[in-house]
Amino acid sequence: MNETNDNLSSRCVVLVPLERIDAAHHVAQRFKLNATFEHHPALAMAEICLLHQQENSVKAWNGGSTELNLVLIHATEMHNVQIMIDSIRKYLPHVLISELRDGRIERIENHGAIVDALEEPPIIHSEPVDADELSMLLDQTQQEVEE
Amino acid sequence: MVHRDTRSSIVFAGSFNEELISGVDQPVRCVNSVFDAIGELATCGASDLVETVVVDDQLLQEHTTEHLDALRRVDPSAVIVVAGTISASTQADALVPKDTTAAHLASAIINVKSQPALIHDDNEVDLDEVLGIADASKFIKDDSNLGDIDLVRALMHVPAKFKEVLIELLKQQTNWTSCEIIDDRPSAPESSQVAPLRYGHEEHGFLAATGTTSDELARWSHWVACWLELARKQRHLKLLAYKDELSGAWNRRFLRTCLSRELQIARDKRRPLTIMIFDIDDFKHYNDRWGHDAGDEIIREVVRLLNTIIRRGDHVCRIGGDEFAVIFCDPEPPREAGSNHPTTVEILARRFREQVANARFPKLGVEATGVLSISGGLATFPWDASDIDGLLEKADQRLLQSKRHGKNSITIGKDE
Repeated sequence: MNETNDNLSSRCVVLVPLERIDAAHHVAQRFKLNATFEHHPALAMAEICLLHQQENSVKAWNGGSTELNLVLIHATEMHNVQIMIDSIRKYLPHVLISELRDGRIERIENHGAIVDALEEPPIIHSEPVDADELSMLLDQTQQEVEE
Repeated sequence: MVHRDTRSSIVFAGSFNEELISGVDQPVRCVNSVFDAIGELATCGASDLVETVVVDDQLLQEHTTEHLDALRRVDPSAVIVVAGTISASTQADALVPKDTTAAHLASAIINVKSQPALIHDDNEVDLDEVLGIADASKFIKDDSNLGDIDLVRALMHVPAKFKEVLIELLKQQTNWTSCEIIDDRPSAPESSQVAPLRYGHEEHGFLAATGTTSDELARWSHWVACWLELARKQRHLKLLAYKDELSGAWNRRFLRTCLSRELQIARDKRRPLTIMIFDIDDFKHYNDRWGHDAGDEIIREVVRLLNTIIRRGDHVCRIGGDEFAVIFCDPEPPREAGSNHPTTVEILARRFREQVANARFPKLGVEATGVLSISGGLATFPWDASDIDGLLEKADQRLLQSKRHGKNSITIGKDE
């Protein structure tokens, strides 16, 4: 996601620690975010839920829909952010979650869930077999056949 | 058309003992965090409403205020119970011990729900405004030539401003320094003369004026009292025309007039409008067994209960013997983030059905307590229909559907 991306012109909630609010305003101005600022993960989730409900209502009238965004700014400084992200992905999977990273707003991909969903491939050990072992194995196979 | 069982559920957030969970006589959902509880509240449908959230105080940690605020923000009507020893949870609706029993929890929830709701006074309803009679655009007042015709116009089109026009006319006709209609003598300004406004046995307060004589004031006070009495009778007649005498609810005539106006407002302001039609199950049986007095009491009590539940702006109408309609005029526009989410009509309807089922009717005897039930149907503009007849028909169809499904239920039509 970059500065020209229009997705964030749709409604978004910015989760930022209170002491970083100046930085958040700066980011919102720079990226032209139509944002609501929250300083606690629970309240940020509540706001996203309300936007979701509002979106449903608007969708009923117009048939169209817009993206809902949650932007995390310095959110690692707060507790329970990961639990909030997990809950949003569970209940509101269509919400796009991004974070401020190296001066850019980038999408947080759900790599963890993808990896968790994969099954471990079977482990195959191919150790070298010398001539004696091979002969013994063949003999054993021969004996089993004769028996 | 979808028939929904509007039974509400409880969300338990945190760890609770199995005995408590299994003992609750409601659908239960267990989640591990406050965030999941918020998600449950926000995404529940009309058929699986989350009515109560029980939060383990261990989850709240030092963020009690924010966590409870978040739950309330998503659904202010949900009952929030904190389980544990936390003492700072006064923001919760109820506190229970961590090892509480299902019965204790149910009792705590009932206590919260039974707190008295605001009873709307019908006198607060501006009948003319509701009926669309108060259309100021039809009232053309020529200040330079006030006469009785202006009073008649004010009475017809802007009754709320009738007194204002009356005083304005009085000032123009008399050239008094000042004059006003007051409720009692002590309220009169100093150095003013006061005369009672009386027409027959009807009192209308007092006329206070300065720059006049007592004879002149007496003459004009009689003139003012005549007009005030006419305005009172006009209002009384309108109330008689639109009110149901037995129950005090609005009548069928009001329903159509009001619905027409509210539908237009809903269209203009792009907001939903819901109508619920319901009747009392087996009402004839009550009339036959306990007499018409008992039937009348049931009708009155049902209307009283309904009036304790509806919001300002909603209207209860009795449209038949035991048939009622409720117009839910959602006064909130599509909500903005940060404001309170309006209480949903589905919740109001379900609470009303529960209240009727638990109501006591002395004339039916003690054995009849809790036997009364209602069946209803809801239809919402713009989803179900876009005109009055369509909405009424849809709500009526759903009422019949509730009957077919064994009564004591309300059918909501919003599709999944």
